[in-house]
Amino acid sequence: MHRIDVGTRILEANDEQAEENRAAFHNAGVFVVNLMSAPGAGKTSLLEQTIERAGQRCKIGVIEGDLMTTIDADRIRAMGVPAFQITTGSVCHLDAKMVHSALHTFKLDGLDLLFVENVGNLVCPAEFDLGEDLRVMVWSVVEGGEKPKKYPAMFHTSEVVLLNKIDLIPYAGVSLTELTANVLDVHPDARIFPISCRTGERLDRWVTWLLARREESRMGRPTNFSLPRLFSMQCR
Amino acid sequence: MHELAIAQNLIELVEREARLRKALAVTRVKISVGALIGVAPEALAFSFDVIKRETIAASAELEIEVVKLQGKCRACFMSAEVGPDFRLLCPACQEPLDIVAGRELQLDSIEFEDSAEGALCTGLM
Repeated sequence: MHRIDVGTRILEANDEQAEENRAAFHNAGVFVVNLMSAPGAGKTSLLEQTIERAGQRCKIGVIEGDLMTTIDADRIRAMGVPAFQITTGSVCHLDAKMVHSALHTFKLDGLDLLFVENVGNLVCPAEFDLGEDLRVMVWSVVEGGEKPKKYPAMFHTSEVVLLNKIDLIPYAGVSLTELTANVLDVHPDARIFPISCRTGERLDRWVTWLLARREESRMGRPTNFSLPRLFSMQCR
Repeated sequence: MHELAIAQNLIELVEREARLRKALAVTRVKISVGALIGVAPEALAFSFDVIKRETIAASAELEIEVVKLQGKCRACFMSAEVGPDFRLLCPACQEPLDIVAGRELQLDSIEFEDSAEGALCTGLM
């Protein structure tokens, strides 16, 4: 009987594909956002609102991920923005290989900003690097204030938390202060933007920040949030 | 359920290591799963038992070590275990904690037989 120490990340194959994706995105000059949330929190609405405000200033493309249907990609295309739909069937998250496959058909030429709208799920997407520059999650105020404690990995690995549906705060039974504090407990560095995709409230602030963040990345300025670092943690 | 995808990745890694070492059969697989990883150990063990069939790890036992969430304070450098409330704040000075353990999803080691005699002894042949 022999015993050997291995010390390899189990999702190493996904990490390697993600790094290939990252290199392809950088070579094409495209800033990539991995957009995640629970089902129904407002990812596609956020994309529509962001496209409306930023679409004139940069060329946007979207890769959509859902179990079934092309409903979300259709909504984006209706705005004149190129969109590709990945239907996963029964897989509850996007992974780097799926994004790589999408890029065989969906060309990056001419794009400045690519959103990858992940499958609605607060658990699995957190574990799969897609090769993105920025992770954003949408959390709506009516999901329950304790969500960050119940799904800490998702909140902890997202640079930005968009607190959506703030127009419903009077009916949500929880304050913005409490929601914000719960996020900062599990992720002290989180950038939190309270917004309403329905009323348009405070979306300009989010878009201004996003475009500045993209500019920083383009100029090669280091940000204080390193995505590959998070995925390189080894035990020993 | 993504435990199935993780088990699939794990078996592929085990098969690769076994091939490199010309193993006949893998008898034990040890992994570490951090407390912050959204993986249920029982579901992962179940998925492993399904995926390992008809592979070189068909008779392998899976050992899962759950790694507790540990943080280190940015201000005072104190190390602290993070409790189930996931508050990443230093108990001493209330400054943010950086996570130093608890995000692992790692294949630590494998045990294997590389001879017919060894495999016979362990009842694998």
